[in-house]
Amino acid sequence: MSSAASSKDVGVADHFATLNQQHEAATLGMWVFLATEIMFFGTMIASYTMYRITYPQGFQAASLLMDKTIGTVNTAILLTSSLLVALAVRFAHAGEGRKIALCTALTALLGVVFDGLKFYEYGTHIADHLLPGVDFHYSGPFPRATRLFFVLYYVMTGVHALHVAIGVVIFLILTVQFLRSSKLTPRRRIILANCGLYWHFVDIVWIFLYPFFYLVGRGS
Amino acid sequence: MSEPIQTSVRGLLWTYLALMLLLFATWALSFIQMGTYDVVVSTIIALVKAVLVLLVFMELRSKSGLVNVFAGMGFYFLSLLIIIAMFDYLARGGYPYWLGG
Repeated sequence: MSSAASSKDVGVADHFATLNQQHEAATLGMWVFLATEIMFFGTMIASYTMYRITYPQGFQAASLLMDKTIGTVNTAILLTSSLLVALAVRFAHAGEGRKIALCTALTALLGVVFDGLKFYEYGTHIADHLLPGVDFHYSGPFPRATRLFFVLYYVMTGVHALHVAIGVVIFLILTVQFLRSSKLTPRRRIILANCGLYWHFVDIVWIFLYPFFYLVGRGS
Repeated sequence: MSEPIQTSVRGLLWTYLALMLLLFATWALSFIQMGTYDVVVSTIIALVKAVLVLLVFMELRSKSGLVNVFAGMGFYFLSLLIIIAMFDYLARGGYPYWLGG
């Protein structure tokens, strides 16, 4: 028993044989969680698909009310943050712990900017009386489909913004931890890699929400 | 300990550049009237971007088959949900506008 334990990699839990096996199990667990997230957003995406098929012209008209510039900038922000997270994980594998805190801090900052722009956009829509159920006055074409479009918009982007906010908190905690100590233990590598998977997933969701809401209307 | 193959920093930067170019392409194409093809083009570009993030940033290409199966299951069941729901809607008599309905 003692010889078997001593032959194991440092930092490996008792129930794993090697560090790779431990890392793989953690990655697998994270993907099980992400599969539930895929289904969570998937139900909303399915609803969106059905209603867009039912009200194609209405969704095109409603999409012209969106600020395409903010949507595009926010996509660029999330793609950049994803690069930073991927770099942080890469630095963890390379043993360059000091660079990780910078990447995680910038990721959290970009997340704050993303949600800031999102809430600014919500504010402009609410000021334009485009808040279904509370204050919705729209005199353009297809008012019913426009109302439906904005219900889906607030729910889907709102839940996504909540995921970004959770990610910001996670990456702020990681930043503080890596500023306190840049020592890279197997456990810290796994946590960083799994937090990275979460952030990339949030990025992927937005990659689809961007054309769903901002790019339906053409030629504007 | 054998570490799995990792994407180099240069590889990550090239992927990022590709993602930004695809974003620019989606944005630029949104000003062009393509009729029924607009939704197809923007969805294909989004799919390519998602695959790049999955394979490179999320390192799926260097993970084991088991992890890939688990990752694929979520998307598989999501596609089932959408496809079967589509069958139901189409069976009700209406056709999507991009099929001429």
